[in-house]
This record gives sequence, structure tokens and C-alpha cells, in this order.
Amino acid sequence: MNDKNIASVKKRKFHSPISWPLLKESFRSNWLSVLVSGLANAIICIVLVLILSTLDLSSTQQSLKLLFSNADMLSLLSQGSIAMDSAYLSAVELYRYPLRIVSEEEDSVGSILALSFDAADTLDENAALSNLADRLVFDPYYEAYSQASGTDQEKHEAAVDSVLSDFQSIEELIFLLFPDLPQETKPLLPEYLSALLESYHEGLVENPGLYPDSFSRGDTMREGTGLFLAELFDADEDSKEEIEALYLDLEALPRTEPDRLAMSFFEGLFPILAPDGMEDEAKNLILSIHEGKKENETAFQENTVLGEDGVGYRDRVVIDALVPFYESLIGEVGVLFFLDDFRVDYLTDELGRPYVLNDKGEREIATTYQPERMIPIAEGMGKTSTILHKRNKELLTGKGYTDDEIASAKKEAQDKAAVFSRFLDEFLSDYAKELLNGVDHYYTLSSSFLLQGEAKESAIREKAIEDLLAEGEEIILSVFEVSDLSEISEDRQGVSGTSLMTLCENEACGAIESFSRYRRQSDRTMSEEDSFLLALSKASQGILDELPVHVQESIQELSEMNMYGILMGILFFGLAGLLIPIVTTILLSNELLANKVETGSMAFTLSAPIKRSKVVFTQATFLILCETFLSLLLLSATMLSRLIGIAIGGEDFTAMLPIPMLLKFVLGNYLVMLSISGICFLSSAIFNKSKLAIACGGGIAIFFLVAAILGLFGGPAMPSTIRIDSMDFFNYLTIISFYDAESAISGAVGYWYRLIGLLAIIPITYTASFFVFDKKDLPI
Amino acid sequence: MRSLELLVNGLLGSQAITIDEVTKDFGKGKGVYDVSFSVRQGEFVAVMGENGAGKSTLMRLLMDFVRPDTGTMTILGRTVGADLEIRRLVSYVPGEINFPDLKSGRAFLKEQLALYGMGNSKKADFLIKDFQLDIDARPKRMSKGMKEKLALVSALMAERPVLLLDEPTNGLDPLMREVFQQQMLREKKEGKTLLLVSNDYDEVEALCDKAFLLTGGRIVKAADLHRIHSSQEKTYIIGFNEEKDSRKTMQDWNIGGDDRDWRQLRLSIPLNRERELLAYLSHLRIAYFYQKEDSLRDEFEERRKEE
Repeated sequence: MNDKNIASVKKRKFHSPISWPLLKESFRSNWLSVLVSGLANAIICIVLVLILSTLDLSSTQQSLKLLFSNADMLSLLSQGSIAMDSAYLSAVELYRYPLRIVSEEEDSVGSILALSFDAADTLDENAALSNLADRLVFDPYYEAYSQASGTDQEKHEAAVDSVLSDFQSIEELIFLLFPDLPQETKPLLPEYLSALLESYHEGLVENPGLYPDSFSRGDTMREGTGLFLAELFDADEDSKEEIEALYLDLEALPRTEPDRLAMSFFEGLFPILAPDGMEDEAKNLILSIHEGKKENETAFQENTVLGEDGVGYRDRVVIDALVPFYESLIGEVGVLFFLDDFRVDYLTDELGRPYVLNDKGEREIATTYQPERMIPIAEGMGKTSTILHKRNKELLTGKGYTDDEIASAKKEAQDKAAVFSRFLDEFLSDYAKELLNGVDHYYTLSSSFLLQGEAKESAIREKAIEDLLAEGEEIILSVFEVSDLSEISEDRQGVSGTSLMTLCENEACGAIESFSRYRRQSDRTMSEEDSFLLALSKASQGILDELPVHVQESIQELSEMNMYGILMGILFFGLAGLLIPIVTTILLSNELLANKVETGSMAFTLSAPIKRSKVVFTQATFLILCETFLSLLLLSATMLSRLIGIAIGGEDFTAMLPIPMLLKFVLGNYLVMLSISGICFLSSAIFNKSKLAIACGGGIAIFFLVAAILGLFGGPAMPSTIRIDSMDFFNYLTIISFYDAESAISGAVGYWYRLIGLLAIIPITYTASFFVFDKKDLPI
Repeated sequence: MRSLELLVNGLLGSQAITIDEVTKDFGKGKGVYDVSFSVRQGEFVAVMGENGAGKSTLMRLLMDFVRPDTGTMTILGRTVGADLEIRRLVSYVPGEINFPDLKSGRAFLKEQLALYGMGNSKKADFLIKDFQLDIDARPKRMSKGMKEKLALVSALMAERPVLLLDEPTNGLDPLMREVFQQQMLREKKEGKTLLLVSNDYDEVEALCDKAFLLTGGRIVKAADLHRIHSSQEKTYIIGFNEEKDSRKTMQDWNIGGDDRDWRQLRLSIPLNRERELLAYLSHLRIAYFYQKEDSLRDEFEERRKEE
């Protein structure tokens, strides 16, 4: 060795931490195995992508998605049709009776009210008439009541029947009492008499001291009249008393102004009849009719057609008052639909109230949130909340909706309600015109007085469906971006326009039919509102809504999964594509240190003027270069196969396997491999025997892989129906979890945070190898 | 005193290898314990001993493959483990030879030359020829002897002043051992220093100046081969047929110990009394008589028997 050589060696040693001859030697002994395993992995990758590209994964997903959007659409359709139908129906009823009375017959109602007060006074003051009333009505009632047997109610009914059997003379008595009573009211008189006797009976039961002898005939008549009015307007038990009280208050008003009397009565009556929360709107409804009346009394009285729409002025005023009332009514109910869903995990009654077990172990309806006493539904079988559950959210979850949530739901509901009000306005206007021409499709009068009668449900339903389908068609056209239904055809969109419309029609009819059936069946003990909501909730439930939440979720999940991403990102880059490189890495890292020590060939290397640390550094560099080479090969294979895949599989590939996502897959795979190589290399540095180095480093690496495979069954790649959540535990045992393919697919930032784990393992293991190998004894 | 000596030797550069109270305990009695010796420059020294006596460990300690628990070692004045320059001064043939998986011996030698920072070596060419080494064979497939030859070529071509050879001729045939010995003598002429691990007494006697016997990790005997070769005494083995002759001889030649086996006697006498002995024996009835060569084997085997 001459001086020149020494100088050049010194120089090289000083500048480079790597021994080039050693690196070359490692390359010469290992390049073939690394290349072969790299190519094998690349081929698997390409084959996988080719197989994927021939599958039509996205069409399966498309149909699942369609299932959901259809379910949503159908549910919207059923809700819409129910809302439309019930709005039309009740608007017709409200419009014909009592609003027509308010607008048309207010004067005569006022007169009758005045008359009734007069008649009561007369009965108190005129002894002859009072006696006559006793003789014709009260005494026969009392006699029949006393003689009858059975319960009090049965006795009362028997007595009423007995009195009504001789109605002729009583009718005369009534016309004596009400000298100005119009003849048309005759059909109502038996009912009126029943109401009087009801009031008499109440007195009899409650005041045995006064009745049957020294009671006030006038008061009995007043109360009876109040009761009659309440029944006339179909009020429920609570409202009856309010209407009675309203009527009695009216006595204080001057009877000379029947107009004012009627106005006050109606302004008081409507809020009483209105659904809860709608009192103000109901009052406004009457006030705005009165306002319209005052504005142009003559046109109002005569219902003159003023505008171009052909609707009489009075009808216009009523419709203009009625439509906003409905808009806010629908908005009020609709809020429930637009409040966020939540999961119901406890058993509830049909009105969505949770059951609790009381001390005796019996079921009761909860009145406060008591999770410890409520009855849980089996794990995973919880259901999505219905509108009835939403009403009871606080009882079910301990936390009600916030004001903000309610406000935003209200806003959404009102937006939707505005669509209805347009239809309702049109419908009522047409109806009003029809009525002007003496035609009435939607209502059958049973009594000309007070215009009582019945709405023609089927005719109204047909009209509602017709209007709904017109709107539905608009929506369908805009969804499919065509101008005519005939442009939607089976061969192109998978469904024809006409069959789509038939489907909508069937759905609408079905929903309305089931709604009215539920309404008819509804429990009499339920409040009007409860039974309405119950029917609405049941009728608008689709098959998907009935499924337990986790089944719904998993179907939805399937429809949203990026199957290409999962197969590539999780199955290939996270599992299958790791196997060959891991095996190569185990063997290679063993080869680089432990095997050289075991066989002793390290002795020749260390005979040269090379520090041990330089040997480790060189071998580590070589190992890292190999991993990098494998990853680059995989990257090229991925990109190449993506191009081939796009050529075969078409646009799905561009959409489902975007390049940034693939780059994230390769990067994650690369860092996982570097970490595993670090672990194997450390093991190779620690042990002097290949057997031990492979057993330890390789064992750990394979363990990680196996844990990742098992963890797959508990991971997000498994649809929740077949996922075994507890197996997610394995994901916490493997460093492969630091590569978060799920986030790479979804684009979540979590992907980058998790990589930090790998970025920590790599320098730690390699640095440790460095120190371990430098310090230990070598048996060479 | 000893460290002063070491210091002086180190400074003067006359000591090629010093080992000072080196202990490396692997446990279970394996290792080397409290070993101290030194090798002067140009001196050829052998370390002998049974398997597991710690010979290879000693070599590994010198190569800094194994670190001592206590004690220090120097090679040409440089401390082992602290000075990488030692690697440029020492050639090593390991006890168990395994080569990296390369396709030919030629490739291996090229590799080693690159590691040594050398382009080519005329000495290598000479040695290959001399050892009749087939350098086109794949090192992994080579026979034990072939491997040893390749390792020797690899070690010797580096032209380093100190040679540490761990049983380099185990697998060589007698002819090749001769070639090896010739080469070693050439190395000696060039002033190289050799520390040789060997159990071949002939080889050690032919090459070495000194030998140490290592037993259980300790140096139990040192022998100066020059002294043995230039000894002024000769040893004879005499077999007797009759006890009285034997007893008489014991008495006359002052061979101690009554309880000895009378049938064979061992007698050491100065060179100048050889004739006298022959004359004396001619009067007795003896079964056999021969001269025992003084040798390292005797010294070491005797020592081993005492163990």
C-alpha cells in the first residue's frame, strides 16, 4: 500500500459516512431478490387494478344510492300528499262551514244570539210561558228520568227520548219564546232541545236543592244554548265550557247590535276551536275577514266580483285570510319534519314517549328523562326518530332541541309551506268561482241553515293528487333535466317518465289512503293533534325508516363507500401489498448484519479500515434504498395500472382513484415499510444469530401484519353489518394502523397526523441499531 | 513496573503487540482471564490450547470485535478500540471462514482490495499462483482448504505489518502447509509480526519464536522455541527387562523416586555425557533405548497432564 493510497482512503473516509465498496457488495449480493419481490408486488398491483377495472362497482353503488334517494323522495311525496290532501279537505270544511257563516250569515247569527238572550229573559219573567215550559219539557223529563232505571247517563238519555217523542207542541213553545226565529232553523230544534235538557240534567245532578222546583228556567236555557253552540261547532270537552262561557259573556253586549254580537262571538270562538299554538292565527283569520268586510261592506254583502280572477269580493277576503292561516298551520306541523333526526335507543309508546318501569316493575309513560329506568332497545336495533319522537326528544335523550335548531327547522318548514299555500289559494279560488256559478264538487249540504254538511273526500283527494302530481312532474323534469316526461326512457335513465309518474301517483294515493285509515282508527282518547301526528308519522314512514338504525346506516355506508379506494388503499397498500416487501425486508435486513456476523464474513469487512458505525450506516442506507426502490416500483405500477384501468373501466377510475389519493396510499405504504425495515434492522443488529434475528424482527413484523388483517374485520373498511367492533382492538396492536387509508380515501387530515407515528419509529429504530451494533461483541 | 515497560516499548516501537491484564468473561468459565503478554516487532508467536481455551477470543479482542471487560491492548503502539488506524496495520484470518455471497473468489478479492482502498495487488497474483488457488470458484462452495487459502491471500495481499492468523492451515494438505510455511518465512524476512493460533506443533516449531499455552482462558505456560532447539541436554528413554538393572541405573544416574515403574526410565543428561551413558548401558540387559527429541509438544503436553 503506497502513500497515495493511504491519502485517498483517508480522504474518502473523512468525507463520506458510507463505505462505497460495502454498499456495492450489498447491492451485488441482494439486488436480484429485491428486484424480484418488487416486480412480484408490482404485478399483483397491476392485476388487482385490472380486475377492479372490469368490475362495475359503481353501478351497484349507484343503485344503492338510488334506493336512498328514492326512499327520501317517496317519503317526501307521501308527506306532501298527506299535507296537500288534509289541507284541501279541512280548508273546504272550514271554508264552507263555519267561515261561510262568519262571512255570509253573520247578521242572522247575531240576531239569533240576541233572540236567545231575549228568550231566556222571557222565560224568567213570563210565568205563563215558564209554566208551559215546565209542563211540556221539564216536568215530563223529570218524570221520565225518575222512573227510568240504569246509570245516570242512561236515565238521562231515556228521559230525553221521552220528551222528544212529543216534539210538535214543544216546537210551538219554542216559537212562542223566539218570536222572530227563522223557519229554516226547524231541523236544528231537536238538538237544541237536547242541549237544554243536558243543561237541566246538569243542574239536577249538581244542585238537588234547587232542582226540579225552584230553579231558574232562564239560566238553564242560557247554559243550554251555550252548550248547543259548542256542539254546533263540534268542540271537544274542554272547549265546550270555554264556548259556554264565551256565550254567557256576550249577554253583557247590547242586543240592538246583532252584528257586533256575532263578531265578538266569532272572534272569541275561533281561537277556542283552533289547534294548540294556533290561537292567534285563528283570531287573525276572523279579524282579517271582519276587516275586509268593513273595507267594502256592500261588495262583501253581495260578493261582487271586483278583480279579474272572477272571485267574489267576499270569497276573496275569506280566501286571503284562510291561506296564511294554513300556511302557518302546515309550517307548525312541518317543523317536526325538519328537525334533525336522532337515534331512539329506548322503548316508546306509539306517540313516541319513552316507557319507564315503576317500582312495581310496570310500564309507565315517562314524564322526565330517566335513562336508568327507561327500557333500552337491543344494541344496534335503535331506530331513527319519527316526528313523534322528535316531539319528545328531551324525554328520550335528556336534551331538547335548541332554539336555534327549532328556528332553522321552522324556517325550512315555512319555505315548504309557501308552496302549499300557492296551491291552496288556487284551489280555493277555483272552488269559490264554482260556488258562484252554483256548482259544488266538494261539499254536500245537509242543512241549508248554517250551511252544515259534509266535504266530498274522494273528490278533494283526486284534486289534491292532481295538483301534487303537477308539482311532482315539474320536479322530475328538473331532476332529469328534460323538458318533457317522454324524454325519460327506460333504456337511458333506467325508468320511463310515465312509470315514474304512475309510481308517484300510487305512492300519493297509498299515503293518503293509509293516512285516512289511521285517522279513522285513531284512538278516541288521543287528542286531535296526537292522532293527527300519529297518522301522519305512520303514513309517511317508508320501509327504510322501519329498519333498525344500524341496518340503515350500513346500507347507506355501502352506497357511500369508495370500493376502489378501499380495495386499493386498505386491502392492497395496507395488507396484501405489504406481505412480499415485509418478507423481503426480514430476509434482507438479516442478511445485512446478523447473517454476516453469524457466518463471520463480517470479519473480512471489518478487516478493512471501516468503523462499525460506518458499516451500520452503509447497510442501513442500503436497506432504505431498497425500500425506496420497492415503493417507487409500486408507484410506477400503480400509475401505469391506473392508466390501463381508465382505458378499460372508464371514468369511474378517474373519479374513484384520483392521483393524490394514490400518492397517499404509496406514501403510507412506504413509511410502513420503512418502519418495519427499521424494526427488522434493529433486530439484525441486536442478534448474532440469523435464527434469532429473523424470529424476533420478522416475528414482530408478521405479527403487525396479522393484527392488521384481524383488525380489518373491526375497521371502517367492513360494512357495519358484518363488522365485528371488538376486533378493532387489533388495530391498536399494529403500527400498520398509523397508515390511515380510510382518511386517505375520505381526504381527512387525520391521515397526516397518524403518519407521525411512523415518522417516529423510523429514526428511533435505525439510531438504536447504530448504537447497539457499535457497542456489542462480535463472535467473528 | 509492567506499565512502565509497556510505555517504553510502545515509545520505542519495539513491541508489535502488547496485551496487558486483559479479561473478557463470557460467563460459565468461557473467556480469557487476566492475560498479559507482548510480541516484539518481527517476532512470530503462537497461541496454542484446546478447543474453547479462548484462543479465538484473544484474536477477536485484538481485532476489537470483542471488547475487554478490563485491561488494554496495543498494536504497534496504538490502543485497540480507540484507534481505527490499527485496521491498516493488521491482517486477520478468522478461525471460521465464511465469505460474502459473491460469484467468484476473484470478485471477493476485488471487493477486499476496494475495501482496503487498493487498486490491485501484485502480491495477490503471486500468492494465488503459489497457493494454486482457483479464484473462479464461488467462495460459498469452496472446500475448507480452498477457503483458507482465499482468506490467506486476502489477508496477506494487504501487506500489513502485523498478521493475526486464527488456525489458517486446518484444512490444508501437507503440501500446502509447506507452501504456507515458506510464505510465512518470507513474511518474517520482511519484518512482519505474526500472532498465530495453531494446534500443530510442527508448524509452530517450524515458524515461531515463542508459544503460549492457553488453558481455560489463562496463559498457563510460555515456551521459548529457540531455547528448546538449542538445548544442552538430551533425553533418553530406556526400557528394562529386569528390575535390578533398572534400580541400579536409577541409583547410579541419580533418577529419583522409588515408586516409579521400573520398566521404563526417562533420563536427561548433558550432551557431553552421552558416550558415558552408552558405555554404562552396554553392561546391562535392556529391552530398548532411544533418544527423545526435546520439543514443544513435550513441554506443553506435560503441562496439560498436570492440569
